[in-house]
Amino acid sequence: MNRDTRYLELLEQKQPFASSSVSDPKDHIFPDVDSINKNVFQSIIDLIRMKSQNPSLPLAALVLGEAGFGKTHLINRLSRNVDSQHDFTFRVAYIQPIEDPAQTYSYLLREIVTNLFYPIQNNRPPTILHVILAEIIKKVLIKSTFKNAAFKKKVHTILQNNPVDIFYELDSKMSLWKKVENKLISNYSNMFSPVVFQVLMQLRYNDRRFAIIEWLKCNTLDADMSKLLHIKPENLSSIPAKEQASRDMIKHLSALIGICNQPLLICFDRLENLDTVDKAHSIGRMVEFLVDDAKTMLPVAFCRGDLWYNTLQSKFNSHVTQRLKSNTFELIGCNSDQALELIASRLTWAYGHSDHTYQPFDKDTLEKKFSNRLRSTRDIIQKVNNLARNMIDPKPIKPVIEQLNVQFRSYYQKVLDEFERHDPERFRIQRALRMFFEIKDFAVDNDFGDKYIDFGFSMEQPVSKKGIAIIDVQNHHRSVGASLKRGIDFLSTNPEACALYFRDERCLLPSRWKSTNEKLETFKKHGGHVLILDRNEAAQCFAITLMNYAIKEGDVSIETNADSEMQKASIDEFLHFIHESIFYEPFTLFKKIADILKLRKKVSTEGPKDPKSKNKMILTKTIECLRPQPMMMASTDNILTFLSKNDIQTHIDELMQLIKRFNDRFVIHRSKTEIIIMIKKEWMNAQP
Amino acid sequence: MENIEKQIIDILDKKGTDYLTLKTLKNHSYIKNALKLTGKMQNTNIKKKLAPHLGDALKIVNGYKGLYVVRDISDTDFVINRIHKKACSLGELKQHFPIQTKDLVKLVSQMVMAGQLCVEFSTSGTIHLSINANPPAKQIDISQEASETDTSNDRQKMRAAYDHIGGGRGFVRIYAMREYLGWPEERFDQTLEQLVKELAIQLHYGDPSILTEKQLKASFVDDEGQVCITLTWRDV
Repeated sequence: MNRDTRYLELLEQKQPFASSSVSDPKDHIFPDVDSINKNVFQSIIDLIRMKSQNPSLPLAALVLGEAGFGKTHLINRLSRNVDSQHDFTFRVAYIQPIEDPAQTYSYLLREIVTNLFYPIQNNRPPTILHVILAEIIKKVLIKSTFKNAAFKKKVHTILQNNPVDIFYELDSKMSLWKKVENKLISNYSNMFSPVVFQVLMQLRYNDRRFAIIEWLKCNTLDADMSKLLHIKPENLSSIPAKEQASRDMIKHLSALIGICNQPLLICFDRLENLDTVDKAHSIGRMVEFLVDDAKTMLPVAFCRGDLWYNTLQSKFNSHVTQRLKSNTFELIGCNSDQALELIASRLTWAYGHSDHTYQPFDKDTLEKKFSNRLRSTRDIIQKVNNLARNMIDPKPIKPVIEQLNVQFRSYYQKVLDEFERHDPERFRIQRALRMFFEIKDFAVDNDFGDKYIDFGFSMEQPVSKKGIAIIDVQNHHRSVGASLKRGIDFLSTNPEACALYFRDERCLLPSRWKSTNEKLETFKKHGGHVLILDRNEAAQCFAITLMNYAIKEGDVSIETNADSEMQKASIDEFLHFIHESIFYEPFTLFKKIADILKLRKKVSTEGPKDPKSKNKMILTKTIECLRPQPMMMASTDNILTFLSKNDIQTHIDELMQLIKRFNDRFVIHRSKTEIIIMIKKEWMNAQP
Repeated sequence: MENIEKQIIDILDKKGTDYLTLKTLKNHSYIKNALKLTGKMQNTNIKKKLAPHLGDALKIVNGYKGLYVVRDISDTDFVINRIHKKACSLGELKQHFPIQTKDLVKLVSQMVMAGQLCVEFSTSGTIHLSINANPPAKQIDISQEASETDTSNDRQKMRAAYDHIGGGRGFVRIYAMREYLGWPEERFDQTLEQLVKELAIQLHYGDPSILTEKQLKASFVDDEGQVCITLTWRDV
């Protein structure tokens, strides 16, 4: 077999250039290229070193880079290199955008705890928290006396070689653990309440892990879980109480991290999704709190440059802005050397060896292609992917919906694979459900004026419908009862309306909550619908929300024309995909809701008369309208006026549909005020 | 109601100014009635009521005395128009101006250095700003063809515009630089393209949805047909 043919086969099989974004910073699929953004990486490492040497230094940082320049990839690189420095070790926590600003600290705590429970290595049980605790245990145990010399030797060997093994190899030694617990309580009595070590030392028992996580997240534990951990049940049903408890717990975790001196880098990524001032303020409060009160944690915000300077910066208070701006790093594009290095690394990964001299590509051609400007890594990978596709066997481009479906399934599968790391999260479910109602042409009222009701929905045409959605993940019977009561009251005053009560199956109502279960029955009798989200349905909601974040960040690309050029998928395209896919797998939850609301997909039976000739006229005249314009772009209003002057009667929906269909010749930009259509250069002189 | 913008432009024309504070605007009976403004209404509420009526000719900005409604012209033009009416000190200028003081100080320094403004001392030691009747290089350049420009000079000017607008940061919006330099399109684009090729400038696509149509049109389309919104100067 010809060598080039073999390389082409491997390219087709392994697809080394198919992915240009890092959707999850914990993924370590492709090799890293150190020279790209080396300075920014090193600067952050230097900051962490400073934090390690002097935790009281008030440090925060800001990393700026447009979409595709490697913000999430930088977090990935940092998490790959936690042990790379000789003089210190650090840990990385990745924080997704917040949805509910009222629960700022609870959210921050939940995200930190989720990150602390990531395994140190894939498929191995020890987590970051195990390692941190093992280091602390080592400090107290290494100086301890033991009656049994053989046992002492065994303990010391474990502590010297791999301290974390103490949780697995000596888990049944009750007297040892009692000794450790007592020593920790007495050594650190000025920093922690005894219950902290009483609970954390139980991490050696696998069956108590869930209860420990719930306790760490300051979630209300039921009597069974409290009994399992040998602690008193604590009621944190009010938001302010939980917020205060969460702040205290973050301080405890910070103190623990301080003892073993492994600073925790808190990465706030995808700030593009902070779509309200309250959410921005919430992140600001988190940064301020971490800098001032959780001194072993180092907050770093990752954001698009233009967005930061022109929008977000003004939403934070000046204190937070100054903190972040004091260490601002801008990500830089790749020159041709770096582009070649990136391409070579992906080829080496695909072929399994580095002896390929860029085959099947020509090095000079690549060099020439990437020497005329600085480019983002995404741009380079997408361009090489186009080259590869054209060499392999150009296949017809799949419709955008199909491409988004493939990518959605990948998000969905990833959530399912790591399901235990996705807590029943009310506001992520809420975002996905709101999206469903909006694309089904309901008016959604997000500000219902009742904290137990997530949103109201209504439509007048074709049939009048209205209702409320209640998403409840609370584990406290009073709170659950209050939510159900809102549903019952709403149905009593609006008997024709619809009330939907959503609950993650991980928070089922215990049978001993008699009065709450009775309320649930009353709610059903009033005509309320209870939707218990199973694993798949909850994962659908989380995947929609996470993919929505990624699209806003510009992290989801699709092929759009015959040259296989990649473009960022737009929110409109994503909404269109959801709209068209709702009645099919895997959207079982949406199908259920649609059945309850008796929504049917509208199928158009009437088409325009002689659509082809009309479409051609619209296209011809649109191009005619755009050609003389500066930068060959104009707003849809101007185009429609031009068409109307030329006796072509159309409307915005028809025009947009046509423009989207012919996306090989037009580009759509959404400006602040209008939709702008631009003609592509290659179509400047051509006829439609 | 459609006439609100036109009415405000008439008021500005009559007063011979480019800007008015929202507080002053509130006292005009037509505007007050049309927008249903009340005496105790806060500026932010007036802004909410006024903003939907503004088109391309006017905008609302934050300045020394709070919120202003201003003509949609560049900050440089504000300064020139104001000083053209009457030479004044920087202190006098800032008290009326629809630009934050620190930005105004930076802008005026830049204009003095570029030779657009003259600085004179009064006998009491106050510094007065006036228009330079014989402006050097820049204004002469603006009216000339691109072919006559000195490439190296243009780069320096582009860099100066970048530093002025960005104040030392990256991701500077291209439309703002275009507006600031006031060059013919071809001259600006050619200088930019050359700097991009030399890897001195990094172009960014950015998010077009945060710009207005006018701003988007004054951005830059690269040789691959992509709209670039901001740029960062690389100091290598």
